[in-house]
Amino acid sequence: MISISYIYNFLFFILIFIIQLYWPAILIKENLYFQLDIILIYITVLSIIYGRFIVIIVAFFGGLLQDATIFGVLGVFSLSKSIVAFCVGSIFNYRTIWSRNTQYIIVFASYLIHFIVSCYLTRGLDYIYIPYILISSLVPFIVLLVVNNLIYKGRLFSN
Amino acid sequence: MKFSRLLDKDFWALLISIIFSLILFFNSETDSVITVQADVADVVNLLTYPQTWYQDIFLTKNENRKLQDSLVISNLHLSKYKKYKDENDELRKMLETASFISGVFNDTIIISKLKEPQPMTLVPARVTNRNSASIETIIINVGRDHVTPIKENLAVLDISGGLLGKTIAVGSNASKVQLITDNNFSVSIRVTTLKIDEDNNDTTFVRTIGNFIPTIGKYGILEGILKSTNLSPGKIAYTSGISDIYPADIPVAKVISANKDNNKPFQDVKVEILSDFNNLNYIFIIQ
Repeated sequence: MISISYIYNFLFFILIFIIQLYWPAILIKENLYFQLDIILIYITVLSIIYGRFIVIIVAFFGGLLQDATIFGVLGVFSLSKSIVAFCVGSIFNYRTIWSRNTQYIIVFASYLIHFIVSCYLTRGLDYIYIPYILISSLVPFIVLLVVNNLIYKGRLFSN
Repeated sequence: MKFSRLLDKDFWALLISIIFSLILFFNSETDSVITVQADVADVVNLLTYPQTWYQDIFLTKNENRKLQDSLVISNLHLSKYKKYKDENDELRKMLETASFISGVFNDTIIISKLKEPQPMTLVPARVTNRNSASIETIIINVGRDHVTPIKENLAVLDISGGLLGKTIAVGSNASKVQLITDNNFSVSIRVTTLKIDEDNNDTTFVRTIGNFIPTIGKYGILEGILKSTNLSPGKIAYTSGISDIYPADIPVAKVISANKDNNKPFQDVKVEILSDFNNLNYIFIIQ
């Protein structure tokens, strides 16, 4: 029997996805847009709460959906988001061992990996993309901290 | 952390999602995929470089061995071709000499008409052995059973046309030739010199008959040359034709020096034999 929380999360994911679709993108450089990755934040929250396994599957399909609708090349965000789900899901496993700062570093490092991988697979590796990768990683991280404080009252990252 | 813990369901889920993602990614045909494929190819090339290097060394080694073999074969062929070339040159020279000598003898016979016309035949032969015993001889590969049967006491020439000796023993398929350098060898020669009569201011050719006797190696002396004969170095002594063995006009030796200051009636004439004894491969027998 499917748990009610799964249905709730599924519906919430659909909502998040629709918001992501219509979220405005900011032009940084020629042919280089910055768009807040709300799905990434949502997957991060899910990973911390539910652990790795189920969220890797969600991240894969969520990324695939994002690839199909927003980006156009399949396999980019499904790959990078699966990696993020795996890395951030470690916080669920080692919450009691890792300090809050370590958890922050893990999340930020995962975001960096996410955008490095997606940037490499879509545009190739170049120094000019470093500011884009940093901004794209930092903004969701800040938003995640805000969400943690406002919605979860700081309980996402705790020992 | 144990390695077995890494291989839990989370790891497998990640691995499967990565594999599916990559399959989906590489199935699309965009520029970014091509770029990634090129990068992957570079990485694979880098990773397989030691293997390629190792294989290259083996290939180079094999190729080197094959090249060495082919070099040896080529060298063998080359030496064979060189031998053929030398042989060809020698045979060509023989042909030229043969045609030249035949012409000279025919002319001589026509001019002289002293004896009965004799058909002259040059029989080519190959030197098969060379003796260095008490008398200097060579063995040639023609004998009595040859198309043109060989007899004893026939004049033998080298490929340049110089007198080489005479046949002394004839077998069915081989003959022995006494060389001109042998101490027991002797041949009648003639030397033609130019004499200027100062009174009449007239020039006449003087033919002097002598005898060639070998001394040491390729040198010899001319005996019986009158002191009145003006011999200068470089003059060629030809066979006189007096002997029944040697036809006339075969070049025998070249004058090196002539000394008239002696107490004898004849001058001392030192000569150098014209035949080349170092390259005795083919000879002619005058039949």
